[in-house]
Amino acid sequence: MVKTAEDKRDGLLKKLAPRILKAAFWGFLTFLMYYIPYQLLVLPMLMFPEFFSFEIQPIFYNFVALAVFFAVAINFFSGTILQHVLGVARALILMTYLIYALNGGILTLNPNVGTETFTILVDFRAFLMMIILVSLLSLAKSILQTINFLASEKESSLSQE
Amino acid sequence: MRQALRALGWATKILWILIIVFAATIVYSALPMNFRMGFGEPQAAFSDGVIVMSFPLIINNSGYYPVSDLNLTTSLMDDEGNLVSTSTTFVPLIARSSNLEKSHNVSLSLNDLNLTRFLFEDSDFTADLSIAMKFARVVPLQVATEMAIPWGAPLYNFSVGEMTPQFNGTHYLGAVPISFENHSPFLNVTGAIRFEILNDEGEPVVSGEKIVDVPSHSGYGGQVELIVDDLAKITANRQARVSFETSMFNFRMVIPYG
Repeated sequence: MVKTAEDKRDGLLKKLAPRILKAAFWGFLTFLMYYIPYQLLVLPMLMFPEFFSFEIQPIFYNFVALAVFFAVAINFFSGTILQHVLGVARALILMTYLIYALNGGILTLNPNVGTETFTILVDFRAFLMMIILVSLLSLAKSILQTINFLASEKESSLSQE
Repeated sequence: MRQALRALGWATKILWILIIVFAATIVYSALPMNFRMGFGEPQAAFSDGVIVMSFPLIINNSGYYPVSDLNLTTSLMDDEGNLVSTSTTFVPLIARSSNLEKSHNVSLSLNDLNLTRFLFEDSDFTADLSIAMKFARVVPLQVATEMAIPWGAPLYNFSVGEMTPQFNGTHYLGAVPISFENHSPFLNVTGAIRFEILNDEGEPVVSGEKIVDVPSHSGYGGQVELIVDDLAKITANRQARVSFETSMFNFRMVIPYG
């Protein structure tokens, strides 16, 4: 029986639809995971605008955009080698972006309170180090998953032969 | 391998959650509604030529974490940028849900100041204020600001009027009008003002003293009474020496007079 183009398209859609739904669901969940804590932090920040610069917003939005993109892509390609390659890329890119965006862990703010200008310097290098260590753990996990995926692929092809 | 990967996955997830919770609670604890710091009403004391201004530092830490190694440093500079005072207050630990009140003392030695200027001219000091502390023992934070502190001269607009001698039958009585404004917010001018007229050799020939008590932000106008036994002693090119002997400072100057 010869498959028509329509049958092929239907088959592809049947294959892709659950992946798209899954990717969309995880993308949305990732967005909520970052957006809700951020909104909770923004509320008190809005109460003291002189202390908190909203230059942090684009940094946060870029970070969330990257996280959501990778969540969607990884889930869309789940079960393939790309899932793991994207996992490695995500760990590397988010780690580099955090180091760059957070200025190496030293943040300087210059709020004006009344007629006085303050200089606030926050050194959260220790905190950034924790984030990097966990990101490295994620990276190690993704690399191991890639190796595991390739090994199981090879194993299944050998057993088929 | 699969078990190890699963364990690694869970460990990563748990660590991420811990980091997010830690970050959120640190930011929440550092917000002005949970960590308040301020100064109470300053007090000034004076002894041995040193003004000690005491600023009560009030800290209220109602956050989730202790604040450690709090270091408050104040540097005071005169209007020419010369450092005249540096003071540091160190608080090793402010436990969570606790209040603390500690005095931050800023000492200002009048001997280190150019007294001629600071007693007679209003000026501005520059105060560099720096507060360093550690939140949750891992996040150092430093806040710095620079502010102008006006200095009010305690003998602002000091002026000496002409002596008008009057003969009373045995000797001459002279009254020298003296006036000034005490612009200082801290110093009361309480003590004696001694007025001496000098001859050509710089020796006092006539002298008189006036006890004054001039509170801060008030003016003074009075006369120093002198007894002149021989008018001939007072030469044409006169000079006068004015000495201030107060509880706050001792100062003496020679001025052309007459």
